[in-house]
Amino acid sequence: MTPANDRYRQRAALHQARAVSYLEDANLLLTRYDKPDSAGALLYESAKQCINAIANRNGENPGATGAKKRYLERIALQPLGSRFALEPGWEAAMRLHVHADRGHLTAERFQEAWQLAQTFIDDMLSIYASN
Amino acid sequence: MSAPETEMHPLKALEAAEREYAAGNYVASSRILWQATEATYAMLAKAHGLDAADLIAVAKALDHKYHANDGYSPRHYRGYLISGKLLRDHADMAALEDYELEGPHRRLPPFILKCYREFGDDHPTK
Repeated sequence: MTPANDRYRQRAALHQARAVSYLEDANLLLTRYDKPDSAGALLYESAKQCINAIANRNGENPGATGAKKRYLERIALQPLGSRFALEPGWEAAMRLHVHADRGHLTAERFQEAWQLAQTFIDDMLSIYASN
Repeated sequence: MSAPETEMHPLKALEAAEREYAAGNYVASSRILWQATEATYAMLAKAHGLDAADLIAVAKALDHKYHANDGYSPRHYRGYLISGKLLRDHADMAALEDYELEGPHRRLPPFILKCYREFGDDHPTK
């Protein structure tokens, strides 16, 4: 992973801010408005923004979701990334993304995916802050 | 998927899942690997005197027992369980892109093998 130039740093900061904003909004949607489908969709977007933020911070721009996933696998192999369950956390966010379309999760299973996806975002933001 | 696949030992199921995945039969490989994951958590529950009816509670209890204080993610068992459940989503709904299936297919087999090495009474090596 290479250092970012100023343009990438600015984009990284924007993605990080979006990740935090989407995370907060997702929690509002869930807790205040009881809209789990919308909340899950937004939490997935927050998770994607986290990957973009770290990638841009390191001078890269993975683009499509498949490339984001491959970049996440690289983060997970780094010393700090390996301390977290990043790939399962991403997969929890994926479950929420599928649920937003299919509505297949029970309340208990939604809660399980929600907790892990939220933790994924927290972990990714801490990795971003440590770079 | 054929009926016998649902009854095979999880370690045999890993071989079947690998064959299906290599053949591009991702729905079948996802279903087999999810069933192997589910059976593994049931085995872990039995080995630890936990109720296998609630696999989330089993995963949480194991994370608390083995990973609460090791400085690493306290979501080890919960993480692998959600990976398996993502495969179940695909098996039920064909909802995922191919690249989204690669991670669980890569990570779950070694995890299942490790669980049976450590806790399975009927592991072939025992």
